[in-house]
Amino acid sequence: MEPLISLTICDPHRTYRPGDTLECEYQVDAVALEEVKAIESSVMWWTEGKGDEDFGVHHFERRTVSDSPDHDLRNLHRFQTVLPNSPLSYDGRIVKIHWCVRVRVFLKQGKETFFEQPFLLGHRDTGIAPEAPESPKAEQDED
Amino acid sequence: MFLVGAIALAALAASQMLGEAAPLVVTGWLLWVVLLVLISFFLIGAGGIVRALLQVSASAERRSVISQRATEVDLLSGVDKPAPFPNVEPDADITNSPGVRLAYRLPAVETPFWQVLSLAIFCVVWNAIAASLTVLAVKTFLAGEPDWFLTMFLVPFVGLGVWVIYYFLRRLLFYTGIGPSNVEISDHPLYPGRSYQVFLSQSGQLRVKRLEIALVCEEEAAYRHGTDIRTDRAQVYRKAIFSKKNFDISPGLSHEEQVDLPIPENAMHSFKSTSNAVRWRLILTCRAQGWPLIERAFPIVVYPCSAENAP
Repeated sequence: MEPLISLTICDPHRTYRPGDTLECEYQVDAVALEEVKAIESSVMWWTEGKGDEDFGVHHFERRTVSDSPDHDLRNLHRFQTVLPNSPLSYDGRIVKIHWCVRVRVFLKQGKETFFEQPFLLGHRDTGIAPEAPESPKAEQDED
Repeated sequence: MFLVGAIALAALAASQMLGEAAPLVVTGWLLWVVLLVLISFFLIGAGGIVRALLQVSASAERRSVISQRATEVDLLSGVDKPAPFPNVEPDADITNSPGVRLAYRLPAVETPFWQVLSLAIFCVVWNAIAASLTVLAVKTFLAGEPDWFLTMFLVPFVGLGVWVIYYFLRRLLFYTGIGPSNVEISDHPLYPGRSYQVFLSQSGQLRVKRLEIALVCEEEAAYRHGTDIRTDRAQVYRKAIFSKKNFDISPGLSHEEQVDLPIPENAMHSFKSTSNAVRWRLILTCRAQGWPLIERAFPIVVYPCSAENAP
C-alpha cells in the first residue's frame, strides 16, 4: 500500500508575489515507522508545452532518520522559504511555467512516492494574453 | 576505464613481482609514467562509477540542486552568489554600448557584416578552385588531348561559381543600399507597466513605402525529434510603437524619430531555460521601393516586477 502524504500550503489562495514567504507543512501516514528512509521537500518550477520539460529547484530539504530526534519522519513537519523574483507563473501558447511544492518519500527497498501542490508566483494575470500578431506581410497588400 | 585501469595495474604489479621471468618488464622513468597513466585511468573510472551510482539513487530535484549549487559557487571567492533574477537573461550585452541621443544603443540580433564576409570568403575560395580547374581544362584542349570528364565536371562547378558571385553582389548591394538602422533606448532593463523612450535612426538612399518599429514577444520551445533538436517559435504579442508611410531618405542623411515604448502591465518577463524561452524584441521593418522587405531585430530584456522595483 502506498503511504499517504498530506501536504498543505498555508495560504489558501496559493498566489504569491516575489519576496513573499511560502509556508508549508506535510506529514506521512499509512506507513510503518521503519519503512521510511528519507523525505525530500522541494519548492520548484517546471515548464510545460511544446518544448522539452525544464525545471528548477528553489528550495530543497532532505530529511533522513538521523535528522529527526525521535527517528520518526512521518510526523508533521513545517518549512518555509522566501520566493524568488523569477520565473513567474506563466500560461503562454507553447511555453507554460508552473510552480509547485513537492514532497517525495523514500521507502525501503528503493521504492519512492511523491505528492505535489501547485501554487502561483506572480499575479493571476501575469503573462501577456496571447493575441494574433499584426503581420507586416499582411499589410503589404495595402501599399 | 575503471576496468582497464584496474586490470592493467594488476598486470603491471604481477610483472614487477615476476622480475626477469615476466614477458614484459618496465623499468626506470617509463615505469613511473605507465603507473601515473594507469592510476589516472583507475581514479577517473572510479569517479564515474560513483557519480553514476549517485544519479541512480538521487531524485531529480536533488541532482538539480547539486548541479545548481556547483554552478553558483564563485570559484574565486568560494561564496554562493545566487542570481537576483533567476532564469532572466542578463542585459550586459545590451547596456555596454552607450547611445548618442538616449542611454543605450541596442545591438542587432545579427549583423550583416559577418554574413557578407563569410559569403565573400566562400565566393573567393570556390571561384579560385573553379579558375584553377578551368586553366587545367584549357591546357588539355591546347595540347590536343581534351579531358572530357574534367570539362563536364567543370560546367556545373563554374555555373555555381557564377551564381555565388551574383548572390554575393546582391547581398552586398542589399546591405549597403538600405543603410544601417540605429535604435537607442532610454533605460534598461525594462519593467512591466513602465514607459520608455526609443530613438530610431535609419539611413540609406531610399523611397520608403513603410517604416515600422514593433514591440514583439516570442516564445521559443526546443524539443528532441529522433536525433534532431527542433525549435518552434510563436509570436504571442506584437504592437507597433511607430509607423510611417511614403517618405524619402536622402543620401547622406538619416531619418530620425523618437517614440514612446510602453511595456504592457501584465507582460511576462524575459525567460530562458535549457529548452524554453520567452524573448522580447524591438523589430524594425522597412519596405522601400525596389528593395525586398528588410527586418532587423533588437533584443531587449523585460524584468519581472519585484518588491523593490514595483511601479
